[in-house]
Amino acid sequence: MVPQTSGQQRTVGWLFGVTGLALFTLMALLGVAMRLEQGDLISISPEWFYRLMTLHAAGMLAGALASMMGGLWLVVRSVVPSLNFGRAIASFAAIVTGVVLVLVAVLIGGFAAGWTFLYPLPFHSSGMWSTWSTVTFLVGMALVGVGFVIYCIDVLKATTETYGGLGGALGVTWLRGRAPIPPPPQVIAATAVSLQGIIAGAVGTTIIVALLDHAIDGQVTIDALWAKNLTYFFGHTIANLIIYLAAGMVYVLLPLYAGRQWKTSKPLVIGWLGTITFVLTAYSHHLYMDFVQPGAAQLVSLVASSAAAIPVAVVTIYTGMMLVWGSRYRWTLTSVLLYLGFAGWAIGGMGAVIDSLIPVNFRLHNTLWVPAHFHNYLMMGIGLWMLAFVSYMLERASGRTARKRVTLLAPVALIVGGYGFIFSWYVSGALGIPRRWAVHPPGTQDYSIVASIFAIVFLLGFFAVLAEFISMGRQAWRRRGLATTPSAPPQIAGASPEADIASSPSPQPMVKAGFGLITIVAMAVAAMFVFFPPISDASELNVKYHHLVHAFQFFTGAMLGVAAASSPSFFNRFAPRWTNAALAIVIVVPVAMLLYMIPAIYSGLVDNDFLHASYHLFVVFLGLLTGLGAALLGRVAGWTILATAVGMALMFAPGVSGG
Amino acid sequence: MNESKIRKSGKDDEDWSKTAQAWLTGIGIGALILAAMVVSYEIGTNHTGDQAASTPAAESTVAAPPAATQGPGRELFVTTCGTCHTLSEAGTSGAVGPNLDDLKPDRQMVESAIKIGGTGSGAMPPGLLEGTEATEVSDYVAGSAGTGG
Repeated sequence: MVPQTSGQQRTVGWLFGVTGLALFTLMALLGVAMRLEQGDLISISPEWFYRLMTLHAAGMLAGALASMMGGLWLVVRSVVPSLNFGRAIASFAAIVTGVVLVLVAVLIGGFAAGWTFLYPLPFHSSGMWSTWSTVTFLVGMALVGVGFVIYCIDVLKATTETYGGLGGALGVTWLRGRAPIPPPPQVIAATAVSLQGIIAGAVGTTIIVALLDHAIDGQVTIDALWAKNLTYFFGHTIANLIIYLAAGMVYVLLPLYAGRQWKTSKPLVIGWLGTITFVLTAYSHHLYMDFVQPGAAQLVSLVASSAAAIPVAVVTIYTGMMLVWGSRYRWTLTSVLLYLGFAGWAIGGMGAVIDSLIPVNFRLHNTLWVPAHFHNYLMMGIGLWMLAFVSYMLERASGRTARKRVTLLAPVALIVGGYGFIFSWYVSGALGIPRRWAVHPPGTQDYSIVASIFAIVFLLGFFAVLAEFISMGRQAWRRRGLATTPSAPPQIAGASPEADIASSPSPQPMVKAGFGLITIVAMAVAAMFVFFPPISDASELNVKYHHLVHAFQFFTGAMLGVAAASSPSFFNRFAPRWTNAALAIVIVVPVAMLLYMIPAIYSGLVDNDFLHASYHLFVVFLGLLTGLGAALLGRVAGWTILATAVGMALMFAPGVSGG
Repeated sequence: MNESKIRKSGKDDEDWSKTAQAWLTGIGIGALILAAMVVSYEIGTNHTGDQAASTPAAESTVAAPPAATQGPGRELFVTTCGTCHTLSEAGTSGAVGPNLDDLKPDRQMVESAIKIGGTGSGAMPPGLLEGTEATEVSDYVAGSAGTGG
């Protein structure tokens, strides 16, 4: 069955797809400028080089993320009608605002500490930028994360309510023989990505708020290793999830051209379960060089980084190739780009696996091998799929495909230019040329010159595609209002019926009266142990233990909030109508809870028993609010948000001290 | 009030009653667990206190700083390394480099780190101290890491 798209789907598709592509284009131009500078072909001061490098990475991440969020939303909405349009727009607004702040921080404020904002570098600028630009950059990155989290919460809520819970939406219920028909693959992808996105968002928020705490009050000190772990968990996971968002979109678009349906199979379900595990445990390969990182984390990362390739290669890439093999594949610009994107993912993935092997990583990690591998799958995988997504929408809107000469020549330029550009990096990396430097070692400029020539060839192909897009866009604009029905899509042979979906899914409370309610009330009461005077007095002697006590106070409130909001009369009255307010609460309140833990706020209160007690009761109150909000989001989204909010408080404890 | 409203009202009462029962049971169980935790804590701390009081010799052994913590190594560490490293015995709390109380490096590891700059990754400058000074700081760190307050 080929999904028909509604006006709201097209709006989200255009907003996210075109904005993402525009950002990609701007950032690509900055990237080429940096490469030309490394080859001594143009002159950019090191000061500006590091600014551009920071902007290039942050902008590319936000652009690719936004584009593929739109792509997945568009294809999932056809089978999950309860995906909320308003929340998609709110997510978009947060991301765009975040990008504007990042632009201001870098271009006006001069922030140049890299998109990874690794502590303590953002606060040691040697006069290159001031604290306000660090804060602006951090808030900008946080807003991009918030936009993604809003999207993930809505997707998780909608898919799990539509397909009968987390197990149903991930296909596990079907795998265990308890459901006759599986969910479509794009639903499995969307559910898995949104679950991981919420976790990564919580980790990212924790480190960003800790850095903001430090910016507000210099007494706050942060453990550098802790900061690096959280930063890379957030960054690596989000960057990884972009391609998994894209995979969900490709599950629907590729079959439109192959004429065969991408069916949910048992390996696909198992593969996605593996992907959830591996993506969340692979990040530590960024810390192989840090000898203080626990050995167990390195070992887990080694296994996860290698194992992550298995579901990708076996399930998605192999199935995609088999879908095209022997089919009457319709070769249009969209379908050519979709097909070539698989190659970028596969080759870049191999580069990543090689780099994630510890003995190899010791040689390659600080070299140009690393940008080679991630540009391989971001530029030649996601970049081509971003173009394919916009091309698909233009085909539908304009009623025609791209002209033949563009379809034939532009991909050739993209492939020759793109891979030439990337392979010069692989070679440079293997030779040991370091990454992240404005100036390369003497005698190595030739590699940058060769890369620059290939980059220009890539840009020629890229702009040829953009020119064709403009032409198709003008045609689509003239057709607007003439035909609301898009051109007839091809029929897909062998299409199987999809799992029954709830016609009007309604959220389920997090707990129902009975054993669940008894358990969480009992847990809340037991957690009040932290108010026991010897415990609370002892925690006053050590900031980290004190923060741990805050986490338990927050947990107490959260459990009470869930228990209160899960009563049938409360839940039925507020759950459907107050979802947006609940969403705002679960995002804002945990952030407020972490911002609340700075010495400048509490140091004046500790001498007064009443104020001191009020301070701690307020932490409980913030937990209560979070619990109420989470409960109104329904069972799966609610528990996920609650677990991550309490997790944020727990994570904060070991890493932040001072005061 | 018509019949359906009466039925609905009756169902609401039933829901509330079940919810109230669940809350009360939860509070009861939670209070029991809380009481058990408080009692365990009290017994545990009193017991530990008795033990500590009965073994003053052990306490004094712990309190005495190792010989390596005395001397010029400590001073050199505070001025050269303390900005970046935490070492309780020296009273430094730098958070840029690894926490030495957690790492507990041996003498050879410290000497190597001073010589090549950490692991040689460039994060720490190599050769911050040389000769006797490097040896004194290595002895001091190896002897004091993880022992301070």
